[in-house]
Amino acid sequence: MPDNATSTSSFWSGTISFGLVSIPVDLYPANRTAALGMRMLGPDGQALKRQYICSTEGKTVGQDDLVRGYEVSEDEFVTVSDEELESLAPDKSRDIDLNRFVPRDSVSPAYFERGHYLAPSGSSSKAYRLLADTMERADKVGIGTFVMRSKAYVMAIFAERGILHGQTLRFFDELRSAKDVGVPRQKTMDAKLVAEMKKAIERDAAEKFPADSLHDERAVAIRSVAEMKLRKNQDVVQLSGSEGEEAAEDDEGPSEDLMGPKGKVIDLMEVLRQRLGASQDAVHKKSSGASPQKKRVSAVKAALVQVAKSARTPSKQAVPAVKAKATRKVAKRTAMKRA
Amino acid sequence: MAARAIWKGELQVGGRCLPVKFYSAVEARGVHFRLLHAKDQEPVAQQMVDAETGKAVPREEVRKGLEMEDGVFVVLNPADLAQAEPPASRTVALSSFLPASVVPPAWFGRPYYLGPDGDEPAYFALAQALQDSGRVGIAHWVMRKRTYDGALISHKGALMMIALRRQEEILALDNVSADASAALDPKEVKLAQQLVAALEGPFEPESYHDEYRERVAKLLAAKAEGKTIPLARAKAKPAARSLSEALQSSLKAAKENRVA
Repeated sequence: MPDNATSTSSFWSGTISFGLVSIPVDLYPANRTAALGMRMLGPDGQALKRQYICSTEGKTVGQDDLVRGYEVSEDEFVTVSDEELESLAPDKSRDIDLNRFVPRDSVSPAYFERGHYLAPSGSSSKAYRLLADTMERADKVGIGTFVMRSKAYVMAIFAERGILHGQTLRFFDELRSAKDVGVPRQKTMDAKLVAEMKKAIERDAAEKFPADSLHDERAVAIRSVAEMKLRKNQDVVQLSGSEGEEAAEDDEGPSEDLMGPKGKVIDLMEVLRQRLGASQDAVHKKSSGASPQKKRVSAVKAALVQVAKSARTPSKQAVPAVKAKATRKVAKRTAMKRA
Repeated sequence: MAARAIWKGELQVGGRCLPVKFYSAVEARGVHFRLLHAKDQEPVAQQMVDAETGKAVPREEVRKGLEMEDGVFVVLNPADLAQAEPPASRTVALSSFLPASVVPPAWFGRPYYLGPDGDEPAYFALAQALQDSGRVGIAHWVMRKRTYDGALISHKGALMMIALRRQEEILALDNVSADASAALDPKEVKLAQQLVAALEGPFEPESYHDEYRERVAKLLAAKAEGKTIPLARAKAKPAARSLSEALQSSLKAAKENRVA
């Protein structure tokens, strides 16, 4: 797993248009899937791959024989080619048209879809610094629109400590209203109850966001079950790097769109250091020296880590036998995910 | 039309137990395509097959494998995954209330509306109190076999719970600062401030449209009728000049727009 602070890849470069001022930027995702890295396997641990079969013939259909269809009425489809969809891209430019500045608290987080960092690119960061500085002083959020991979986006751009970051926003019609879902209208307001609720809020008021306590409990639980099995050498198999289809998480994992390509990993902190002379507080540096995993290790988890460590030895001995059984050469899977 | 509740829970607040229903606040609007076999335009079905032998593996036999170290996987069967499930509970615990501004934007995930499931007065009183205090509640609950953390906010008078992402999903640049010592030209700073001020306004989410989605819908409608539609072209933009000049011209244009 990449470490929490720095590694990611830039996956889009564009230009912020602030009036007639052009500010070249690189976009870096601020969110990523916290994938456990699970793969789809058969009951005996064999690698699986996804295949398409024709519902009438029952035969395998290759990627080249697939077309995209939109169901206009039951069982009646209109097919659309990639070229047709590409030609519909609203604008081929790479501009983030920053055309409005709004009060910070007026953008409800209900609209936030995905986070990004915007780092200056190109030879000069002067205009970038100027914009970040001005937005921060005015305490305003910029609203920009842009097109990426043939899709239109609205982005709220925030300036903090001289660095710009943005949230792509849901479109208005993608957020239901309370009325839409059937939340009743408020009939009366009980002032005494409101006072009671305010008291409860005050009593549990805190000022610091508890980032350290927000972690994926399910991942920890699954991992500990797996550690246990590994220690007992139960259902342990060896697979090569590309074997087996990646298992999609069935909860709300990010969609493919804005996560950016995998592969090239670069150091965003290093980019910001070079282009903006960015640095981290000494105090913070010290506390983040430990990996996020280490930071939140409780007594129970410390014990699990011990279990995991002791599990390593027997598992290594056990693996070669399994390996001989499970070693397979598999043609590289063809990615059909985008379809 | 009222939506179906996806879950029912009990909000623990101020010694009260407030019954609520959870509703998805997100409406999927994307155009959904299906994959068809080009030859006969019939939808294709997906199946998992053994990567080596090509033999189909029925859905109920498909397992997930977790990589423990390089290339070493542990196969997890349904019983193993069930073991990792949190105990079911209706409780939505609120641990603290934070100023709305301290929750970093990147942590916000999917929003859910909460609707009152009895005790409407307390429901609206909590929404009002959150609104007045400018605070958000930090919540923890178990819904459909998963643990969630969330931020409870008041959204246009209703209670809304926005799921929070996990630390593992966040690329944090906490306390990273750009070098503030690099001097900016005071004249440009002033112009930039004027330009920001000229472009100030309210946030109007309803004024942005997903034009691409609208065009795709139009194309599909036209194709369904057997018509073709002309394709749109990109437009050019004015050439860049020096930073000061660009700021000045932009400011002028912004002011003219405002008057008009």
